[in-house]
Amino acid sequence: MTRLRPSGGQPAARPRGLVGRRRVVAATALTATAALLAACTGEPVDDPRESSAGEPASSGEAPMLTELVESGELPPVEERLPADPLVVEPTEQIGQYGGTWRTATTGPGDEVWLDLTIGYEGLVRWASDWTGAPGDAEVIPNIAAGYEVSEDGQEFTFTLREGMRWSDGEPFTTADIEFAFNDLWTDEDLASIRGLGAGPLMHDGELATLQVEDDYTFTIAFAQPNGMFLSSMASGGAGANTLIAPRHYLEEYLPQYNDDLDDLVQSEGYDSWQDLLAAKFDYNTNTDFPVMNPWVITEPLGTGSRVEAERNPYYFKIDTAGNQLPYLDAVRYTVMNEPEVMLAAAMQGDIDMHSRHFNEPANKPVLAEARPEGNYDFFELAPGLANELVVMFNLTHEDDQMREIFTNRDFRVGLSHAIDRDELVNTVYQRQGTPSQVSPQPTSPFYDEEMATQYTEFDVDLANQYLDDAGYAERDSEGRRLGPDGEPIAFSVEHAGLPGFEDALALISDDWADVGITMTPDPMDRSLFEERRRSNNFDAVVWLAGGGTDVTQNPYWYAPLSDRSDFASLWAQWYTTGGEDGAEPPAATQEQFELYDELLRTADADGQQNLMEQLLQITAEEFYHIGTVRPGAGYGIVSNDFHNVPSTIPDSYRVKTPALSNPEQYYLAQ
Amino acid sequence: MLTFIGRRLLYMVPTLILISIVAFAIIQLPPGDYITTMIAQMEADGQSMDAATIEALRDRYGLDQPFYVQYWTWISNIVFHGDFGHSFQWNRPVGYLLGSTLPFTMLLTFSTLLFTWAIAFPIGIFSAVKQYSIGDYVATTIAFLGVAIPNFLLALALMYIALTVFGQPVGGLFSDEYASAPWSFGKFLDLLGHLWIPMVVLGTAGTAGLVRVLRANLLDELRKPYVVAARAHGLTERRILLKYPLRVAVNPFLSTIGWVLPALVSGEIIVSQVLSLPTTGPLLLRALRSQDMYLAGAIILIVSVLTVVGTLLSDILLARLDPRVRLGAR
Repeated sequence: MTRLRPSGGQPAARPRGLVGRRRVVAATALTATAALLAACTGEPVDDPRESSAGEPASSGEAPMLTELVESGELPPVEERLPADPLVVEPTEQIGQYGGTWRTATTGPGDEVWLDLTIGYEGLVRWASDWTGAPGDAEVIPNIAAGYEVSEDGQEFTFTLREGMRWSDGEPFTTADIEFAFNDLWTDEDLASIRGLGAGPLMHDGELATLQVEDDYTFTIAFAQPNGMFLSSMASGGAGANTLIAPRHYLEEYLPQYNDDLDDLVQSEGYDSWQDLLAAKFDYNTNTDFPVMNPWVITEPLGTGSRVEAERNPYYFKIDTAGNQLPYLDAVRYTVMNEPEVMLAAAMQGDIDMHSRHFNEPANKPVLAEARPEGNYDFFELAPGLANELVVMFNLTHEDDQMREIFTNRDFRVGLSHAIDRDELVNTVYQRQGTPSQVSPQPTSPFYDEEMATQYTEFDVDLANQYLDDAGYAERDSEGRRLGPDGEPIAFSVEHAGLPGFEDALALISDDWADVGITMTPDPMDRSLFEERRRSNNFDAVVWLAGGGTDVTQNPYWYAPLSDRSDFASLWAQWYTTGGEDGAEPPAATQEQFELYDELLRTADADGQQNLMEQLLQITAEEFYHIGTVRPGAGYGIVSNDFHNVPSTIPDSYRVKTPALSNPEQYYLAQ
Repeated sequence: MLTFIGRRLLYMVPTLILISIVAFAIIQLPPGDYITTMIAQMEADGQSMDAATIEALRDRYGLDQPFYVQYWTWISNIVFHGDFGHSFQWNRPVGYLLGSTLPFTMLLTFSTLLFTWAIAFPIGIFSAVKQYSIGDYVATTIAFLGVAIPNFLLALALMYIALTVFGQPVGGLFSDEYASAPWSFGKFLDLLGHLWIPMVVLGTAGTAGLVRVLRANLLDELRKPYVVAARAHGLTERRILLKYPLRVAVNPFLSTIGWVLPALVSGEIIVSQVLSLPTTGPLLLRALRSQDMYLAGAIILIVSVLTVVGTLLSDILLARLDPRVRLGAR
């Protein structure tokens, strides 16, 4: 499995454009180490912190850890940190140690909030000022001290930090990477375990190879250039620790390392070793699982009323004054079953920082009013969506009549012109947002005004003109347009009742009735909705469109590239199965597939930008679906005592909002 | 009496088997399964899952098996190994989850029951004996209000009062400092300080109902000739009341003991959901919504078993109280 290369062999090609970044990383690490050493030897350090900070600069670690060091339970901080700790620049100022971040979770199913707030450390990560630019310009080293990409874009060499440790104090080396690669990620038996699976390691149908050079250097190589590998590593998988697994802890649970595994499975009460491993390989529920995260969960989900995490004494990041992060002692998630209860807790000041569940436009006025009593304020979430509500007609409808109508481009354009988007913005979205088709956000390098605004003008005459041209000029006595079979054109739009959908569809339904088209909104339970859309059993659906800023990572809103492209699920199936299943799409769509395949094989940023722009051009021409409103900025709340939270954070799952803003440097004014 | 109990125990066996099948079947009725829910959740967060992983998950959880195979795996593990299976969503054994929530549910149920009886008995007797007095009108009015106000509304109102008057935080059974602390006297007192809200909320509707039933039954009995006879014999009013009419009037209390538990568990769901209590109610609701079938099945099964056992208990008590019940079965 591991491709061997002559020992000491360096990638033949010169590292591409990364020299500068590597130098920067090394330089900051050096100053930080110097500061740290100075701190440890008690010599004065140039301290940029404000007078509000309470702890003396020379401590370098949290008082609670100093106590443990003095009592001999922990090694001193310089032994716990790697030789070149990652230096995090605080958002506002150097913080103070101590305090608990009070937040909330709805319990199981909401693990993602744990991932986003404390479970976000990967080998590489996105830069804090992420814009979604193509290529790896914004991918920065994290757990890895640095990375190099070969000129052909096939080999990715990572360097780890010397002396780095897991949260239980065991060393972290390439042995852990090797173990993760060979025994966990590429083992098909384990694909069902959360966070595992060879996803990012597969490229062009082939598995990558791993070569370990020494304890701190390893290379991942692909047979073809891989333009998306680093971004997928930065985005992380469900387990958030892509390619990182504690070998010393997990070996016991794998048959190839433990001959007595069957007995262990029995005594722990599981049916199979996979189940046992799944239970152990879960930082949310298994408090023994070693992590690289700033906080380690000490009270897991499942005991009912809360989840609690305490600082990781071996965390590898320091601030610019050489203090070990995180500043906060603990993070506490109170389990609140209802978002309404969470809203109440937020209003009364029981939540320090939060941006999930209750941060809907509708709740903003109440939250704004309660700010003085609750002692909190808002921060902005820069929108990452391409659209609040996209109407997707089923272009691969099973019924020939319906398919004929829906694939008629003039029909879709006509209906797009018939929607009064300003009314939607004003009444449904609290005047937040802009009329728009499904399109990258203006902040994205892929923004194209023409694409965003085409056919968004509310013009009933124009709409009627298009619908007449589409061939449906004939109407019955009630003014309803007749379809090819002579019956009035009527269809339903299914939706799973997300906030705003019901109201927006009611308005759109009226707008469309005015041009002779009968549309019935059809709300349903989420499970039923999923079943129906997966079995291609619907006329049209609405959903939120992603890909507003994460355009290259989230392209299936622009072309039917995955089973989330509900506008043409059979075409998507045709693409994902290599033409075996599904239905063959038109030539233009096939061209998009080729463009995206090429993008995946293109390592350089300009090439990716160019290919994606071509792909988007076809999206604009094909006009697969009807967009309505591009969302305005979202919000989260942050306590007035809680500092270093940026005033604006980009909002997208792929950048793990708010992890992008470095929660380890948040602090609570004491 | 022993044959009566024996017969009742025999009836329980097929009842429980049927209940377990129905419970498991109902959970399977809605479209989709746990994996569907999971995919939906992941997609709502912007993640996606490839088809191979979905297949692997269905395979691992045995969701691609036919209904009877899934049922048999589930029930045989419970009966033969005492193993309630694994909760998909919590990634934990169902037994563990029930172990952490059932005691609180029981505590809540029984304290509510005691609260209900402690309030309902005196008021019921009072408003029967002093029919049409001012006290009766007041008690009756309150009782009607208690029946009419939805539990969740009362929960919200009390939560607001607890917050503004007593400064208690929203939700939960413990204060912050005790939530993860080991049991101590302080923690017990803290629990009592929080328990009253759900207890009052859950108790009011039941109390109101009981007051009405007791009042009506007692009124019937108080007018019967044997009461007049007893009074003529010179017995004190107190002795007459407690010795005879009340014994007959409590019949409905005993015969409904078995229903108390399911009624409280189902009433508790909404209240616990609103108050964020660590009881089985929200666990069941969540399990049903996400089609976490082993967890949902186990809770429904356990509540059903407790109902059946409760019914048995009330039958035995009734049989002791009223010999006709024993003979009536012939």
